[in-house]
Amino acid sequence: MIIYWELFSVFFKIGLFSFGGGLAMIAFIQQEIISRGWLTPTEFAQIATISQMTPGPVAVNAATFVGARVCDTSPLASFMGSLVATLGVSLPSFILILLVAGSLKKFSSSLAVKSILNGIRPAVIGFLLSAVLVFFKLALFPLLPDSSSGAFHPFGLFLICSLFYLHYYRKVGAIHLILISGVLGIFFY
Amino acid sequence: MSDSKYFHMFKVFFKIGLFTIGGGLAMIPVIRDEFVEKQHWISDEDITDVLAISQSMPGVIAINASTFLGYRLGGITGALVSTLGVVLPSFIIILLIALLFTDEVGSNHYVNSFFSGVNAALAALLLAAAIALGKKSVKDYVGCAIAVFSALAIAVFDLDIALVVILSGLTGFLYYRSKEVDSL
Repeated sequence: MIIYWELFSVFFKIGLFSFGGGLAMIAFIQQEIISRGWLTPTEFAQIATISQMTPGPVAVNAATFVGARVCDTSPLASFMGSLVATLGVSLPSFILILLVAGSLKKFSSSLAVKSILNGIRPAVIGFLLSAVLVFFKLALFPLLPDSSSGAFHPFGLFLICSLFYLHYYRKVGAIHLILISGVLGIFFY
Repeated sequence: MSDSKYFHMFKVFFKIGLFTIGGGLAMIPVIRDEFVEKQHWISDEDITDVLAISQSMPGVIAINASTFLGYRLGGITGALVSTLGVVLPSFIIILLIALLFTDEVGSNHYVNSFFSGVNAALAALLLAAAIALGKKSVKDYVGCAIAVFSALAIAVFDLDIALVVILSGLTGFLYYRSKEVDSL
């Protein structure tokens, strides 16, 4: 029972304090889940990938998936884990929006709210950069079950640079890049 | 407000949850198409409000948007059916995948190599997002300092992200608010 409460409260906190949506939330969830030892970085990276590729909001996908994996003793436990994690991540949004829905225009144009967001937005960039580091490490030092674990793999560096170029300068979509890099991964790792 | 309107709202948001990959802002054109063009329930100005709210409130953008629109269209019940509609497809699909995607599948050599390759894509995508967003949201030296501080706080010192959010919000409140007053 305690694990359900912990899952709920961690995801409630994530829903309450995350700004910037999608990828920024992945960075937040990653930090919370790995620092608690609930999943390894490799396991979380798989969840993040599947959450990106399946339909629906990325953060809801990730919450549902993490809930199921953390409580994987039985299908019922997985269902309960998914349920509390998804409820946790969704409730803060739901409650806060209802609270300000009536006076939204006043709220989002107020000087205090604008100043606070001016401070939080750069912090979100920092969260994204720290998540970049985690995935950099995983791509450069892949933990493959049958290789000497964590050896430097130069292919990862080449892949990151070329994918960055394709996405940032050539505007190739995220889903395409994920599929391309996965297939190349099968051949080269 | 009739039951059939609630049911229709649920259906539309369920469809949005089922078919938009990437979530969040990717939903906005679909919402506009359905509620502005087809149903005439809301105006383009409401869509602008949705964008404003998704950027000034914490949490999942898709849930912010559907709660807000649902409330506009049908009060608390409307908010509830819309939010449920947008979350349910994710919940069902991911739960099924999670039950099938066991540790055994995850540690299969080919699956593992696939995901190792994808880590490179995630690193590249996050870096691109950080740069694109950084250009808009890091406007001065204070913003730059906050970004560097928060990256170090998380990656090196393992601080609580919620604490970093509160500190940077407080810094923003104290610095930008007084700055705005100075310039008046």
